[in-house]
Amino acid sequence: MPGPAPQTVGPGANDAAMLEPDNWWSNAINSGVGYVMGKGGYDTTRRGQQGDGDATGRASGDNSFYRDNASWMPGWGNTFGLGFLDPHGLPSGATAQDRATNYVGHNDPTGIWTDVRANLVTNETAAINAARARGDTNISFGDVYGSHVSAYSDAQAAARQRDPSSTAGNTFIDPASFALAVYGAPLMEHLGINAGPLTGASIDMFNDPTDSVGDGWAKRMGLAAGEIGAGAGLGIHGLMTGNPLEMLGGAALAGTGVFSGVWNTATAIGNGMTLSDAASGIGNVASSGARAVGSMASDAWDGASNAVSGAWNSLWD
Amino acid sequence: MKKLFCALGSFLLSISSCSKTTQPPPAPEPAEWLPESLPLRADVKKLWINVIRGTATDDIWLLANVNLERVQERWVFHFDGSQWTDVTTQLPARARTAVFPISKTDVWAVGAQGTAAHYDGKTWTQHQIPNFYYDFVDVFARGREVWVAAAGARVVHYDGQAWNVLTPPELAETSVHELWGTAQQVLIPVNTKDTMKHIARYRGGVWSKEPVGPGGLTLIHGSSDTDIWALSRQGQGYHFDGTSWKSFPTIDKISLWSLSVAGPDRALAVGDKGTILRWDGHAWLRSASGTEAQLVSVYAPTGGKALVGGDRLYRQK
Repeated sequence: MPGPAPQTVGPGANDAAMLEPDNWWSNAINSGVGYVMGKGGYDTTRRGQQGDGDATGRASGDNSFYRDNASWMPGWGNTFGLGFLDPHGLPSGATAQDRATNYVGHNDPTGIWTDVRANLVTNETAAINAARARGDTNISFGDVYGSHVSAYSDAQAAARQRDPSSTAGNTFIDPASFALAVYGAPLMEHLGINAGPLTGASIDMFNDPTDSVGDGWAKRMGLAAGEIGAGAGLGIHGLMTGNPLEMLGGAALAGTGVFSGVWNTATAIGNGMTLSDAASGIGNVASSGARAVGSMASDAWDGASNAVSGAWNSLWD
Repeated sequence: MKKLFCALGSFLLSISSCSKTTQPPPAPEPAEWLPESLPLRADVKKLWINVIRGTATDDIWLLANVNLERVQERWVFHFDGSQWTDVTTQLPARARTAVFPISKTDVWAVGAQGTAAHYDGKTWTQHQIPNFYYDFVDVFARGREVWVAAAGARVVHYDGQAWNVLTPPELAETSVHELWGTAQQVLIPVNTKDTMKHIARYRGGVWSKEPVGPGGLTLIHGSSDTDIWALSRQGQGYHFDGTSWKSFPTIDKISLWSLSVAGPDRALAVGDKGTILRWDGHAWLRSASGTEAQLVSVYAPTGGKALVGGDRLYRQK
């Protein structure tokens, strides 16, 4: 099960600064993420290493675009004036996208991930050039969000043109959830936790461009329901204890869930989702979830059985 | 208790699988292919062999994604007729996505962020397009001329002196992922929004485009100017005999991922659920693979036993 981040440092100007954290708690958390995601058939290892593994010469696949252009990305400092929240001294959008691109789309037989990466480079390079022409020093959150929406849409259209049997049509995630990814997830790196596996896992789970429109919708509705439930729980607890922060946080989380659910449903319908697609998506997600839960339960049972058996044998011997 | 978990999982699976399509009939037995070992280290977790190409039975290149504990790497192996050798560290790390051997002493490889490399039989020499963040995904070479698919409506060309990005109108509205050619011509599948797809042909310094379809064109390969195949992901196969394209059905409901043509009466295509199709000069027939795993690469040498790859390597009996 994948855990630690690779530790080869590339030659780029920001490569050393943006190297993933590597310590026991980060590795323990990401081992857990890797185990759970592995049960769903997902891969949370890094695609290559910085500099493509110059130390070992083996690990190609690294995408350095977001490290090379880190200062152009949106972050806490250039968006909210809270630069102390940007990890590694560089805009959080750089860390978020670097971890995203290097921890998803490992084996890509359909070529969708290749097209998504190429489209993102095209779109964000154009946004950087436009910002430079305006005299700006960075691109905005809206630039990055719009780049992703069209990168996904164009890559999926190309995949369906190549292969009429392709069902790739998962719409890009809502702006509130994307903001959590751009500004929120990189905060983990302040705590010494490599955000890569969790970022990759969340994209694989909730934002996979190879998913059908129904499968993607069903997964994200599950996420929205979770946010609403957690928000409601936090808010109610706040009411009962008279804690205004909990009430506010609960309302914000539940509101994000409602917004995500409405946005997700509207964009999925806009992308052609029918009732049949939705039902099929729910079925497929339930099937995958049941398979993953069953496998984890089986692992737990095997582990417990082995432990008991080992203890019994030790006592018997 | 374990049985209870399994029963619960099976029940949920049975509920959710109602909307799925009918499974294809199992491949006939006995298997016509045998697993073959590669010189792998003990810490390899997963293998995904997606490129096998050669010039003869004693000159075969194999490229694979290799998952280790922390990272996914890209490894390269060469077969000299008697044994496989791990040659990964001999290639530049960024030039390991695809390979095209012209002869034992003339090989081109391409990979991440505009990187190519040439092998002269002794050493690899790296070529780099500066500030080019697009990944090279396929390569065809003849003499000192190299053609590269780089995703998007473009193809990258090396004339022996310089690298140039070409965007002829014949490639508009497609994303180029595969190409192939002979000494006389280069062919590129063009999949636009139209139901009828096209093959772009570069011959005698002139681009042209001819309709081939319907169905989408995802695989192209041949053995000469009068023996060229273009396959759709599912269902359709088109053969060019030097004059016109003729349709020969392949297989429905199963995606094909790789094609290799050895001659007019011998071609192989591989795909999901262990599918291997064999062209015998008249029709595409099933070949019993002995596996249900996804197969994503194939190489059929003229007059020799073929190889197919997926999560492991298989050689024709």
